Amino acid sequence: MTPENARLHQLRGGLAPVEVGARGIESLARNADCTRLRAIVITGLTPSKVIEHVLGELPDAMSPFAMTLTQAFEKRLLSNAGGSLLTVYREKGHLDPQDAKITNVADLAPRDTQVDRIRRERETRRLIELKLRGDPAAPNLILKPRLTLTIVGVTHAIELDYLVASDREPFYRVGVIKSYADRVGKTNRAHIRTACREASVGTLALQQLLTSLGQPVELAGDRIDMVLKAPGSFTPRLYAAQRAESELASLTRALAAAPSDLDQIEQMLPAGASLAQPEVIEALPNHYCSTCKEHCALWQHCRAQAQAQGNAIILGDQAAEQLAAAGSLNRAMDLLNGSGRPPDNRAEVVLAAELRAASTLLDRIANG
Amino acid sequence: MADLLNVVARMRALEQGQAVRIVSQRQVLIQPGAQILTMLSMAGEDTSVHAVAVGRLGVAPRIKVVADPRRRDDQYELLRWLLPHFETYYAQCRAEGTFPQIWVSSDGALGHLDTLADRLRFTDDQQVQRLGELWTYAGERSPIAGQQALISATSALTAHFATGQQETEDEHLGALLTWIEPPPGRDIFAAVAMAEQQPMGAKTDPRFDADELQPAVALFNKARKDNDVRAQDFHAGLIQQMMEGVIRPIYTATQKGMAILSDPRWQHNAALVSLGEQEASNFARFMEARDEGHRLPYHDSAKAAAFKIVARERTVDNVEAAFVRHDHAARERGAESGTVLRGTLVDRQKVRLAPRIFETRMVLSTAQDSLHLRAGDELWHLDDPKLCIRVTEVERRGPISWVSAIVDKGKRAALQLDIGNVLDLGPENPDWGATVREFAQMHTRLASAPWTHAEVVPPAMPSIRPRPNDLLAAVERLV
Repeated sequence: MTPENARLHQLRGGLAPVEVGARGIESLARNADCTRLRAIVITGLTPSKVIEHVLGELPDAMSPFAMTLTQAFEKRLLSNAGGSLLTVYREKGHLDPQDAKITNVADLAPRDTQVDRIRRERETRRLIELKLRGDPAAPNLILKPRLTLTIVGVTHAIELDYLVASDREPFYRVGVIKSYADRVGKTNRAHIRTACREASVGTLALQQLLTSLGQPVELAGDRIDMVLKAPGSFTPRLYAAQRAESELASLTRALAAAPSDLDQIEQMLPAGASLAQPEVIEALPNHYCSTCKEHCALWQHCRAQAQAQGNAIILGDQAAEQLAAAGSLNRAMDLLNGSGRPPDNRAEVVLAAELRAASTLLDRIANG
Repeated sequence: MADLLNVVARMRALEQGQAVRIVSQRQVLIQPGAQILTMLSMAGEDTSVHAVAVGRLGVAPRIKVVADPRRRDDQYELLRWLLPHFETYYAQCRAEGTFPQIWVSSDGALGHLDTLADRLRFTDDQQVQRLGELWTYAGERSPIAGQQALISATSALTAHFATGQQETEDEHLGALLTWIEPPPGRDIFAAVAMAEQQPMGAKTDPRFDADELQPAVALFNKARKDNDVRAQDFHAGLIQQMMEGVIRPIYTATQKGMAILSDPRWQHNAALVSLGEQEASNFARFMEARDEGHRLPYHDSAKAAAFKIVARERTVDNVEAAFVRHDHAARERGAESGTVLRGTLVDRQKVRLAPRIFETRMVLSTAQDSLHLRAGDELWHLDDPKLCIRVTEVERRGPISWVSAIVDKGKRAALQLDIGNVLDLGPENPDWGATVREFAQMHTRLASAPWTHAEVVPPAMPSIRPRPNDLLAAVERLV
């Protein structure tokens, strides 16, 4: 065990690590200020795993119907050596007729063992190096590539859906397959953004790989490909070379935030403590916000904590922002009702006046 | 202040452990025969209907469940079962000159209905297509301001109440109703957390799917594959019971939401009358177009989209104008945000400009500090639609703004106003006919596709006319 792995093992308190994957890393960008989430993900755990193994509760589940559908759609696209996916690209004119080289990394080492995982990583790297050398044998589609992404000194493996590049293009773009129903302008924007960010995790991993190979990171670009499902059928709809610069930027910012290394995470915990202890999880500072429910299994715990602490976020992001001068909801209530100690400073004086004016207006409106 | 108003309302709700009213007048029109439509889809299958409950306020639902909606024949049978219900309802509304209104539990359920409407129109079964067309009326109206055709219970309730939780949490109808009518003697957060356990959207709970529904559906499909009719019926009955256990509470909660909003404590809102009339006329046009066999495309053409955007924008203005006139809360908010001028009449006089040419002028003072006014703005008296003024000058002296204006319309009425009267002035009366006039103008202008939507970019043709001194004024004259 390397020293770094030993430290991670200690932080996990004996819990087996899980591959958080692109989705787990993407969730960090959704709530960059949440130290609890960062600590959990960086140490190789997920909120679901914490819920199940540390807090002893039932973890979030995915409906088997949705899971079956997702798997079936992905299988449909990637089966027959990725023939369907290749057809979609050709139909849209993003791959030429001669761009027919497909490699499925998962086929080379299909088992979920350490040996096979390492083989998949090496094979992906080898195929990418072929492309960088301009080798005509470099595949146009690499299915199920396995890359690594180093966050705060900890290496995480991510398995992507595919990488794509025509022979004319200098390097690969990351592609994601999502079984969301594509309703064009009516497609849920949050879903699109999530898909873009997940793909951007892959782009970051490609950037790191390029850096390690002494190549310019610009080769990885800031575009991603996305395949969605037509509503009510398995017909794939390709959105190629979508701009993902804002997603990349938000991800980069989130990964650069504190705690920026293992030392900081260790310093936040009491000596000898680990994330396998419920009280340690509870003690880690969280940043509960209105979107936590969408991606984090711990949201109910964080919400209950925010309620108990009288954190203004329980009334929404707007309230948290507007009541920031008061510091807490209880204090804001005092300022609204004119109870408790008098305003401490000019900001509280202004807030108290505004709250009372709004309260008077509310009475007038509601009872008018 | 508008933001803070929302925050204070939520603080009050939290303090009292119960939702607080934020308006005194009704914000949605509840049609007497409004239909409550609750549908559950299968997870991942956004265009499926696993179970449906349909009925009205005060009426028990009619429920139909299919064992596995992924089987097209069964799915179509359920949809065909629904068609006569809506066909009759729509025909009745048409005969009465009103409009159909469908209530769903939440915005998620609303999205499901809209997705279905878009999908069903393009199926190969005529009856299912027809149902899709009928639902498209509701789906197409749903994003339009002031529409009354497709109402989500959560949106309707949150227009009347503020809760002590986050806005996104209000999307759970059960939690929202718990805040509105909390169980006595219980901690509100515990009661809400309990309510959240019950699905209230368009999908069943994933754990319920995994533990109960999926095994039952698998056994049903196995029985069907084995051609075991008895086992098939048994498992279909079991699935029916399971789904009814999920769908009934959602239907009941939607009914409860409607009942709360039907309560006579909500005062009449005259703004809703004109919205109802507009809805009825939109519905009549929609049905006429169906009778004439016009298709409802999946994507609008660029031209149709331009018309629809204009109609939407005009509707937003009209709805705001109607509410600021007749809705007490909207007017107070307008005065607070500065879109409504609430001023004290300081002076009004008739000035002789030339022989037999007079001008009526007035001056108002106001302490509003968030006014959006500039010279040339036209403002209408919100309580007397005949009176209209044109602002000539706005001057701020200390905490008071002085607004000078010329009376454009209602000169006699203006002169009869008492000094010291407080007037509310704002946008013009809603002009619902303006959209039609605008369409006629657009029809002419868009007779041939503009270069922005054509293949070839035309060569630059600089104007030979002299450049106006005041470019802004010249542009404004074009409007």
